[in-house]
Amino acid sequence: MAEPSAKGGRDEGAGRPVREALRRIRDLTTVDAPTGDERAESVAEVARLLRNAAGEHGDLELVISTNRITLGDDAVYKSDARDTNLAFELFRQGLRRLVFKPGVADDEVDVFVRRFADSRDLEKVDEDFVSQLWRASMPGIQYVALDGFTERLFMADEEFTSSFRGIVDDLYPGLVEMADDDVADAPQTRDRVGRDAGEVVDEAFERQRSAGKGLAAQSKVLRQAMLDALEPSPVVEHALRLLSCFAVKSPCAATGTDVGRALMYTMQVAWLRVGMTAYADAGRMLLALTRTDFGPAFSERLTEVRGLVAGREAVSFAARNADPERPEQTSWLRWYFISAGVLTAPDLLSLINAAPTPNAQAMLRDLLRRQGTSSMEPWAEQLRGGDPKVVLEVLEVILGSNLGPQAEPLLIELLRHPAPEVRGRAIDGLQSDYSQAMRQVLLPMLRDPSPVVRLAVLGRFVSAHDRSVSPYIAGSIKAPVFIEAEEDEQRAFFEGLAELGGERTLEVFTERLALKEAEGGALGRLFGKGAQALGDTPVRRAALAGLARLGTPSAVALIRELQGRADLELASQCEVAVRLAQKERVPVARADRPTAHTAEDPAAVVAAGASALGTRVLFDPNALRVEPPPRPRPTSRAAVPVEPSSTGGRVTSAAPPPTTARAPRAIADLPLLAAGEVFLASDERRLRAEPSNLDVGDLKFTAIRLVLVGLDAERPIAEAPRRPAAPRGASRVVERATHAAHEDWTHQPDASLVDILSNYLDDDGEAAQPAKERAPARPVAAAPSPQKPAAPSPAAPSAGGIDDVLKKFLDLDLD
Amino acid sequence: MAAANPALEGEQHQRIQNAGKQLLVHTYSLMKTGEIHDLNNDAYERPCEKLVESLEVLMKLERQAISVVVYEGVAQVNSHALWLDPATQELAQELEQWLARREAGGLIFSARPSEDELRRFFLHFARFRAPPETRSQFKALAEHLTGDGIARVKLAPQPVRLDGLGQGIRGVASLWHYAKAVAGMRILLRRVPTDVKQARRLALELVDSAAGEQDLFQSMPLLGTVPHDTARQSVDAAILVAATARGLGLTAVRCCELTLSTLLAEMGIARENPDPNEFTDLEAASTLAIRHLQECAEVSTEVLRRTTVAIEHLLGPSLTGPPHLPAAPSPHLETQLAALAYAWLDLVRGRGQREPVSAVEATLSLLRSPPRNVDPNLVMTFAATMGPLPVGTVVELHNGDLAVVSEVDHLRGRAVYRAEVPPVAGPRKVFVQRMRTSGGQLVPERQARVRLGDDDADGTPWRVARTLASAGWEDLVTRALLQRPSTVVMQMGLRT
Repeated sequence: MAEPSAKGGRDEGAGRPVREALRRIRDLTTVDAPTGDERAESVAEVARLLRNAAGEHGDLELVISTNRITLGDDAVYKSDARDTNLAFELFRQGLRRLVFKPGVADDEVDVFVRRFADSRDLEKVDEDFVSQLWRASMPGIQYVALDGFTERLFMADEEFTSSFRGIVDDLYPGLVEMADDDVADAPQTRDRVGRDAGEVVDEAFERQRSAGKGLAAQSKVLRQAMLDALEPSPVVEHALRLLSCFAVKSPCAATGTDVGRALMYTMQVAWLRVGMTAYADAGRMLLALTRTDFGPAFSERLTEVRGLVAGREAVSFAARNADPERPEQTSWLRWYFISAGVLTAPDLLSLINAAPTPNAQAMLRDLLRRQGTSSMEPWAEQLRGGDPKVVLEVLEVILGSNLGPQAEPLLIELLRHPAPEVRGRAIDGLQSDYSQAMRQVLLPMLRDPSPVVRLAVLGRFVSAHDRSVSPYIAGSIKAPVFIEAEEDEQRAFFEGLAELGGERTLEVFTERLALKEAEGGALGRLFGKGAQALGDTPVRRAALAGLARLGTPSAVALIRELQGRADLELASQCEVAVRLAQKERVPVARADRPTAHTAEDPAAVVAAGASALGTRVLFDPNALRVEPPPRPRPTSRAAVPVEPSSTGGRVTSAAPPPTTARAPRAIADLPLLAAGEVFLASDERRLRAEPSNLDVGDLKFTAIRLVLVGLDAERPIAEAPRRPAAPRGASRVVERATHAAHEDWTHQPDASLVDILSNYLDDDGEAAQPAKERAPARPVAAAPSPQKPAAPSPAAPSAGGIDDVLKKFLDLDLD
Repeated sequence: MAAANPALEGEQHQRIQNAGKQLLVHTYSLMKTGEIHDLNNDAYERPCEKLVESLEVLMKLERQAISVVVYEGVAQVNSHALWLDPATQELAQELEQWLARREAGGLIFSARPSEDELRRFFLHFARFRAPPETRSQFKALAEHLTGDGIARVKLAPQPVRLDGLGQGIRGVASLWHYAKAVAGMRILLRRVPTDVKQARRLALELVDSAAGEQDLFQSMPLLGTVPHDTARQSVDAAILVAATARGLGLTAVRCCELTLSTLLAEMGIARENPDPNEFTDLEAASTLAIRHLQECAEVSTEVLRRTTVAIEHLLGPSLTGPPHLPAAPSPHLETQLAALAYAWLDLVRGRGQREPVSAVEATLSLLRSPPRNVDPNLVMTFAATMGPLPVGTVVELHNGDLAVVSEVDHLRGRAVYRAEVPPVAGPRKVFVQRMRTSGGQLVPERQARVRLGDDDADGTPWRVARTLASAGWEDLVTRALLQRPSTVVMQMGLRT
């Protein structure tokens, strides 16, 4: 607990109110913090205390340590507790200074307290307390915080400080040793190497000036487009489209489970951030995608994906979030999960038991019931399980379905279940045709230790009108233990006996009414009190109920007789019984289980949900049915030094831009190779140019269509050998055409056209243009495959040599 | 972060606390002993024994070198802040003052020291007198200790003051936060799962610092000669994205989100390539970024956006780059911005055998032929944010002076957030620092700073005759950008 300062003199300053404010803040951020009005009042009080103190003494700068908070020299909070220690919690969040400014507002204190309390659930958010304070941007509350990296610098962590220092030295070499005063170079002046000519700089400024006129409008449009694009709906739709591509990619570094989980997450975002309709759109699309035939290679992967997007976790999420007030949601979810056919009974059963709300349970039960009708097999296993809760869930489903006689063997099996509630519910379920066999099974259970079971059995006999069991019921009533039973059970037995045994069993009633007790004892006679009045007991009340049910004159006479000997209370019970007996008897309805579902067509009910939330199609899954782009293989990478780049797809396909160092060439805007595509040494190829007359002299390529065609088609790209093939391996088809329109990022060229052509024309496969990929920062692992000898870096052809190269290129094959 | 590690709850935590306090107390005791007693005095014996004892416990628990640092009243052993009682607290404060006299913040025990080593260390610590004119007490003592063969105990430098972190004269904030972000990303890009909280802290610091020194920040990708690794590329790209987002007048929070997405665009590289014979590392990384979605407890659009950028920022204009997806969609606008930043960086830093081009040329290249699959307005805005002459560019002026672009007055301050008209369209003033005359002479300091377009003494507007390669002029670039190098060094907490 926070301790007040021992030095009372300090309380004269800001210490006292700050101490009180901190105490309240601590109380507001514990798990049992006040809520509602009480909380609001407390927050307002904290703000008032801090405002007043800061108003009087200026900024309140609190220094936070592990076990204390100080204001100047005054320790305004001290605690060595491990739990609910405000100082430690703030310290743990990285806060080292906390400044409350004059005028700090209630809202600011409220946000501070709320975010601080939320930050205890660190795992649920990917934003720490300091980031949340930053987001809130409160002028009345300022702070100094350390993060993990600054702390590494503080602790002189060798790896981190050397990395930090390395960056500084690279950016500003010699900075640490640099004197403040500069020294002239003369007389040894340094070389000036030109980079951009003045005209280029002027052009840049001119372009900026000319662009500036429309820039305001363009950037405004862009800003709106950016804000729109960052909205949840487009983000979700884009992510779905993007992630779906992984589902039909082979080979793929991500497993089907990875993809399925990613898509499931996206669906969750759709529901929580956009709405249930967006979730439905996503689900509808993914269901269609996973059912589209992309060939046997993808079937397992797509099944895996479907297993996740419509599986156990997905239904659990849906059950938690579905709004029971909106039937269209339930209806659609029913259609979705039933149609997907992923869920199994065990999944649903365990989910039902763990469902947090009754609504979630109801939805899951509905799904369980509907999927259980198709086969008994899934149930059998569950019913044999020992967990009564699970078995009861299954029973509910069975009893709610139209399984009928199919389920009877299972139910009979359950009569031996150790849990009485299961036995009782199983008896309830035995509503099919009553038979001698069933009688034989049920009869012994009339003496079951559990009243639930006994009542259930009795009810079944009554509903079956099996008069042959009345002696057994009478025997139960006569048994000494009968009086220990609950009154409800006693009443049920008497009524059952009346129902099935009729007048023949009046003797049992008489016996249990114990009329003879009214003859009184010696003591009564001694005091001249006459016969002793019969008292009101549960057994007598139960017997009265049975007699009333019997309703025959003999039964009424017996009630009258009892009334004559009864005390006042019992006499009034008798009066009621007589009235009931004299009423016209209403035949007991057969307690047949309502079969509402028999009126419905289960398939129709499920199908009706398909369009409950619209029919929007996000995209046609067939759009993914395209030839995958060529993938560079690690083997090809091994042949060349990899290098930093970020542009993946463009690395192998473009020519360098003009630079001042190299003569500007207005060529090679268009790639000859697809992004990432690499020709293997074994490829055979034929080049064809259209039109056939090329104006080589001025190097105008923009209107030329070039087609690069491989000759053999023995092996598709995807099946190319994983390791570099022998110099002359099997060939493969490679086709590529440039397009007349501008297609690539000319500012991202990678090799000149001349380089590329030279490589094409090089008969020696070893000189093929190497694949160039951006080198990752991580050390490039030595490729396990045999290394293809690195291509000798072709010397940049001189500008004069390009004509020859092009002629050779065009002469290669113009058939 | 000095956080309570759940794994260290209970007994282990308590053992670290106890041993840490013992270490602190015996360090203090040995410092006192060093002041009073000579090397061969028995008074060293007991505290040395106890110090080694506590060190052994800590090394066993921590499995690494042990640093004990005292700063601003907080004593810390590695990442564990010590809970000090009032008496130990006073002792720690005194220790902090002693250390401060040597410009040190604490001690680093890289291995278990011998008793003799400890004796000599504390004796030197107490009695060493640096030669007159010594600029750094810390450096002098450290060298003296090394010279005496003391290798297992080192001095830890004095940390920067808490309230001065990343602050100071112009240049400190950008340098501090850039270097810290790169060093931090080198760690984060090795972690699985991705530590978004730490990355977010870096992102918000970059955005905050950009409010003051955006022009200097934008120069960072252009400075230096060491090839930029993935972590540094990520920070470079994130800076450019933050600048563009600020130029659009988005809120600080949005700017931070976009910056964070770009910062983590390469988060997939932390995952192990499942089949190095089948997948290139790039393909594996951009594919396995999708696992980020499985690891986030928070269900949010931001996580989805972050992952989308990580997956598709390598797709390229033909949409066939890693992860080589069939029928990949056009990149999301947020990805386009990140990809554009990466593309510009590839140009100015060069790639493979291709020479880097100048920033001027790179920006012109974007404007001349806008990339496919990128919003043309985005290209325009990005180019306008970069500007024709970024800070750090070495230029030759029309009069032959050699100058360095030292300041670009554009997109400054926090007023850019939520601006009604995107501030990128606002006026831009480019200042250069004239560093040398055509004859190699110094330009007087008060005449050195000029604005391009303003008239010189002859009435001729200052204009750039050409840009120059910065190789060989790095010192002038440093001087032009950081006007007072020694102050920057001090405020950065750097030690020679």
